[in-house]
Amino acid sequence: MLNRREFVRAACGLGAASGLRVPIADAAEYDGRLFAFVQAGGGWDPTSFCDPKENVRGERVINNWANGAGVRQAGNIRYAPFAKNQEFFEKYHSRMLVVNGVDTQTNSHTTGVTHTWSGRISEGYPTTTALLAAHLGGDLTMPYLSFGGFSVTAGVTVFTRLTHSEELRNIASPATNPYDRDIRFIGRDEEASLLRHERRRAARLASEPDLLPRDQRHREGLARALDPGAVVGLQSFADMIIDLDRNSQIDALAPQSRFKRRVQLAALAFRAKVAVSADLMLSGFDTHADHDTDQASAMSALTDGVDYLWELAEFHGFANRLVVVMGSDFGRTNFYNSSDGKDHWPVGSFIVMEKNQSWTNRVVGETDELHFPRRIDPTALARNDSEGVILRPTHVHKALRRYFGIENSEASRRFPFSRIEDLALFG
Amino acid sequence: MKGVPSGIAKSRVGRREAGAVPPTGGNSSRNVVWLLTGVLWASGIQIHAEPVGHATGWMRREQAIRQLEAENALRTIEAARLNLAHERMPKFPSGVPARDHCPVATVAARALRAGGKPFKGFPAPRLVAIERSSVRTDPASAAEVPADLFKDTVSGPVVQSRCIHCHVEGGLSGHTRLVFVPAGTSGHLERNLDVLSALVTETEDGGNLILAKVQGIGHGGGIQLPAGSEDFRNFERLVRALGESVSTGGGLTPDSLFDGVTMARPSTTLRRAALLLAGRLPTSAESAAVRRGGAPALRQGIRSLMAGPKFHEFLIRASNDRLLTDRQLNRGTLRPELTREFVVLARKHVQLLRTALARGYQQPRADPDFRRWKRALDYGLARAPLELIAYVIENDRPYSEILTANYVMANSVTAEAFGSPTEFVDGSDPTEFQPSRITAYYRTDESKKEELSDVVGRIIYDPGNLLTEYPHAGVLNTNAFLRRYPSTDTSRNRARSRWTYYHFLDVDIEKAASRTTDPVALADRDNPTLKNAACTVCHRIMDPVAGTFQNYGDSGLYKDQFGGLDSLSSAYKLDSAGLYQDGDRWYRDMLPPGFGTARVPDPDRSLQWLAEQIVGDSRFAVAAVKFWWQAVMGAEVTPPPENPEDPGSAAQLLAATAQLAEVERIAELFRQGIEGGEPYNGKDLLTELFLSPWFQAESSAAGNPVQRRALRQAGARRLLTPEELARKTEALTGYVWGRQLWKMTDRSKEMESSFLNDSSQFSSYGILFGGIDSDGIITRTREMTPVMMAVARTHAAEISCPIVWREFFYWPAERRLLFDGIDQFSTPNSLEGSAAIRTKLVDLHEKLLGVEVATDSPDVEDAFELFVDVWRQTQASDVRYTCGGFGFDIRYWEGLVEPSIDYSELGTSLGFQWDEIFRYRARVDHRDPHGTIRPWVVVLSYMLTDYRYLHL
Repeated sequence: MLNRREFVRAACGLGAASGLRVPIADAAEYDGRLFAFVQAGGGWDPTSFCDPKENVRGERVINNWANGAGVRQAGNIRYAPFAKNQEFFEKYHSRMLVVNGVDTQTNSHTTGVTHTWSGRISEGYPTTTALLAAHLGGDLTMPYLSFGGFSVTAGVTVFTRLTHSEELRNIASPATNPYDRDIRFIGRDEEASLLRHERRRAARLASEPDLLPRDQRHREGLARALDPGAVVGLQSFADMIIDLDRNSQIDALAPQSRFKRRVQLAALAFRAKVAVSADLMLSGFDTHADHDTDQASAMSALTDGVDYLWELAEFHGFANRLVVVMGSDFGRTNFYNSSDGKDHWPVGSFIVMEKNQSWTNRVVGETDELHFPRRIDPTALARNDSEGVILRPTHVHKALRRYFGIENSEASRRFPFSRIEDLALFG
Repeated sequence: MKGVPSGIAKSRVGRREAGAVPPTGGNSSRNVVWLLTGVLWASGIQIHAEPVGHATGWMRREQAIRQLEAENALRTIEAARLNLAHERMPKFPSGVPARDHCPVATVAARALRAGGKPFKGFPAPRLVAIERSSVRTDPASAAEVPADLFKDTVSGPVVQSRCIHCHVEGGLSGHTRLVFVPAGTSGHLERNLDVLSALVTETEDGGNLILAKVQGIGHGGGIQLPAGSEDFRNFERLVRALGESVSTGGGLTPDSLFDGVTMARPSTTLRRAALLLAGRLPTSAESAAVRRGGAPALRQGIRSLMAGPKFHEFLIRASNDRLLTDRQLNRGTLRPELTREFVVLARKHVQLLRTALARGYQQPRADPDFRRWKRALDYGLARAPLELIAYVIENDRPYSEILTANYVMANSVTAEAFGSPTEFVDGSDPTEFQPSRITAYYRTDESKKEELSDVVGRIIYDPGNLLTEYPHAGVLNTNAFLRRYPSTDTSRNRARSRWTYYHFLDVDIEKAASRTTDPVALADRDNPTLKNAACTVCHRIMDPVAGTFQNYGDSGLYKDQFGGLDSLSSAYKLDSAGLYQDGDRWYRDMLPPGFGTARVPDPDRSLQWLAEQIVGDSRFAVAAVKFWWQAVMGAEVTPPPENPEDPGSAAQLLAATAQLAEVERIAELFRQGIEGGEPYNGKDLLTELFLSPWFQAESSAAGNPVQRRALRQAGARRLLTPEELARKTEALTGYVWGRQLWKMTDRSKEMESSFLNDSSQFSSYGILFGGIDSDGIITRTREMTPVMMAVARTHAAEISCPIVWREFFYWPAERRLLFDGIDQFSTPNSLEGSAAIRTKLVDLHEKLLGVEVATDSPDVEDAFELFVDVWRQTQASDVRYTCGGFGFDIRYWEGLVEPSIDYSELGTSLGFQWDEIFRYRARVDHRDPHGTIRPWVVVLSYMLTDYRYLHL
């Protein structure tokens, strides 16, 4: 946290003495890599997705689809012929790293999402999404987007929620009549004067003495929210939404589901260069009953949504900068319960996607035929039953942090993964 | 002292310096975190002050420091040796300027080694804070007799009152080494002391371990003995008497945490409470009473705010923030087209649809009468649990009734559906709830005659013989609560158990015990929740309570299986394993229904029995305080740190300890009755929360960084929720942004929705401003973001003009809320006009922001400068702006134009009666010859985005 003097200097556009990133008036655009963490809420079934399991003689049925079909393969990646998996894996295997046999060490949703998305089984650590935003997006309008799900920041940044595009357009031009944009409630010159005074007041209030920590933190937060870069960034984002409405080419990509609308908003924020990372939440995977029907529905929505994200990324020209990380609370049992559902199972998978990378079209990690995790040599990444390690979300996040270049960021150092093996997931 | 864990060093400081603070608490040496200030240069050592818990530095191994002096007289430590090389600290390249590149690392106890010889040759650094204390042994304690200490000070208030909730055979911690026996057991004193003694003396570093546990560190049961409390001190004495050396706490304790903190003036606290509780400012009389009576009058002043519809709204919103049952407003609860148990409801449903068909509706559900009825039904069912909580508090009924009420809250539509004659003040108003009962609930067997129609749903010809006396149990068996936490054939009410524990007993089962990470245990298929110790650790607590919900099926219906005898899943009953036996109510492969070690005596009323157990449990009062804490403080009660090495863990522990002490203080008052009031009075509980220093803290000159960090959530200056912002604006200006009206029935009371407060989710401004939807988004955003600020600026820009116009052009002077005492002829180009404007600005600061400022204060100077800026622009420009935004509040013209609102067939406000309004406006002189209206519009917008407006 900045001290008061540094903060006032920053708020006044004077720059800060420390090495921390602070809002700077003309630095509201981001051209680096973009990160979408897709949270399949409720616990997906890897055995019907990226860690396919056929049925084992003498064991209970693992998957009904395996009664009539075998495991498929796209490139080097095996997948289950379930839901819309074929379209998805055939289309994207070349930009995909699958990490199987990841032991979340829990059957609890709360603990599962904590472990899967922060990398630590106990609470207190931020998501990697937040660490990315903190390190790369300090100046931006909305560096960290959250659409629900697990989005703990641990104080390293603040997340922004986005909902309907119509209202986002409105707030980007506060002084304009939302129903007739030619009419202004406050004139341009008036608004400029208003904003200038608002900023000055915010800086003055933030520098008052003897404030309690929360009071001070909130005053500083408000001043940052008025930063010129933030205001311009929001306008840029809103312009993108307006263009979207006017652009018939995008109409073909118009979202048909709530999840796709979230994907669309995140993509537009990426395109507008105002965001670094996003948590995209899709629920519906907690299929304790009628597993095949409900899991297939959720899985289809998931793969459709991720496909939609890549299509938008191509259209808007940031596909080469996009990284997608998919995961879930944990997995599901290797048998059906009495309601044709599947209950919680601690073993899950991650999928990391990026274009044009040497580490893609690969699978790391293994499970046995009943979906128990196998030990993996951390260096060779091959099965090693005697000296290998069971993969955990911590391993994945440690590797992600390193690959994303945030391993030694100030925020990441506050939340270290000590005494955890390094896995060369990305070469 | 036992051996020292690997990597952890212990040390002793033999004596205290004069002026040092005596030891008060106990802490594990492994968690010691020191903060150094100044810059210390010596042989390559460089230490910079950084935020608490971190030191930035370029350090060499095994440098010794002669003396660390306590700046705030916290403690003086002699002969300390600092091992500055920390395992987390990366190698540092030589020759690199340290300031720019030095790594940051947590300097934990393992980095500190005491002892060593005096170090000479450079100025001593000053120690400004000790997060977790130095290490010290108090030999005097060893003379005390453990048995006496245990019997007199520990057994009753600690073991039997706290530990034994979990650390008992069959309890949540019954699998640990620390298992006590209840006080009724023969020889319990000796047996329990033996157990405790064995753990302390036979465990490595056992003394510090158990003292850390009772403070909540790494303890599933959270904080049990706050540092500094009498119970903690007694427990610490016992541990010493057992021959164990213990670390002692630093100078800061919960009792001293607020040292140096200034509390808000009573009038300020009253204003904040009024805005939250009553959605208005205090009246003159209320303010005067508090000004005259000071703090003592404040209690009565706050309590008197707890009445009226806005207080009701506060209770509903705050309850929903916890229970999240408003999700069912959109998802629905009972499905009238399918229900076979609520016979009156099913018949009403059929009747309305047949009427609609007779009227010619091909889609009978489109009939407005049906839609209004359905809307009222869904609303009544979804809001039942929240309305019960509000009813109990508003009517000063014992708070325990939220669980034990032998009634359900119903509006006129749901009361009819329940088959219960219920008195309403206005039976046509579905927002009015009254206590009712479910009297026409028929379980199903072959005696029921029915048919399922594709057109009108279930037709019940004969309800059958199984008329049921519904066993109400407060919120627990409202359909909305059961639907919000649904069950499945395999989860078997466990979610209901988990959230019952969480909301009403302050037990978070998911954190209450070490969770197994053994993959074999987690993948165990042989009924692990009953048999595998790795799983039973939680399930032995959770499952019996799940069993008390045994009569409620997955969708929350009572004994919903055919035959009307139980709610067991068909799959279980038909399972080839053959566990089920006729007459069973609960699963034989689970623990029987119960609570703790007690078993349900009567399965027909098992949930009522559970409610009685809960309200008789001492944790119920603690849970109640925590339930309401967030609504008042704007943050949940701080939990103890998960890991002592987490950044700021010591400050977090201090905050958690202090807040728990406050929670327990209030809980005890709540149990006994506050200030002579009745026990378990909800209003008294809320009042006590507003009077807490955690709410009243206003400013602090304290420079101790640990203290500041521990006070991270102190004070009332929190970001308003979207609903609170809407209510504040309404209270102060009379304007509600985006207000629309709707009715659930043609004669029902008008209900309001607005851009910031919309239960139907029509608008998303509320979500953008940090609100929740009770479904996927269930936690409020508490820190301002650019998007949220943009919402606030839009709110201000869109409403300021209509507010100013109404005050200057439409309302008579006596009705003005903001611009009384000034006219549009006061311009800044005269001394008199400037003075009038400044005086009005002072007034606006007081009204809108609650601050007293002088006419020459920076606040007024800035606002005046803006006024002049805009005024000059207005003078220099030919542009004349019309005032938009009238349409953003459907009540804007009320009292000026009648009728002013155009309603739809469903009673929803469609818009204004523009013809009438145009006629009215044509009669009004809107001229602004002196150009002062525009400046006031912009200045008002400016004030509505002030930090002090957007925060409480």
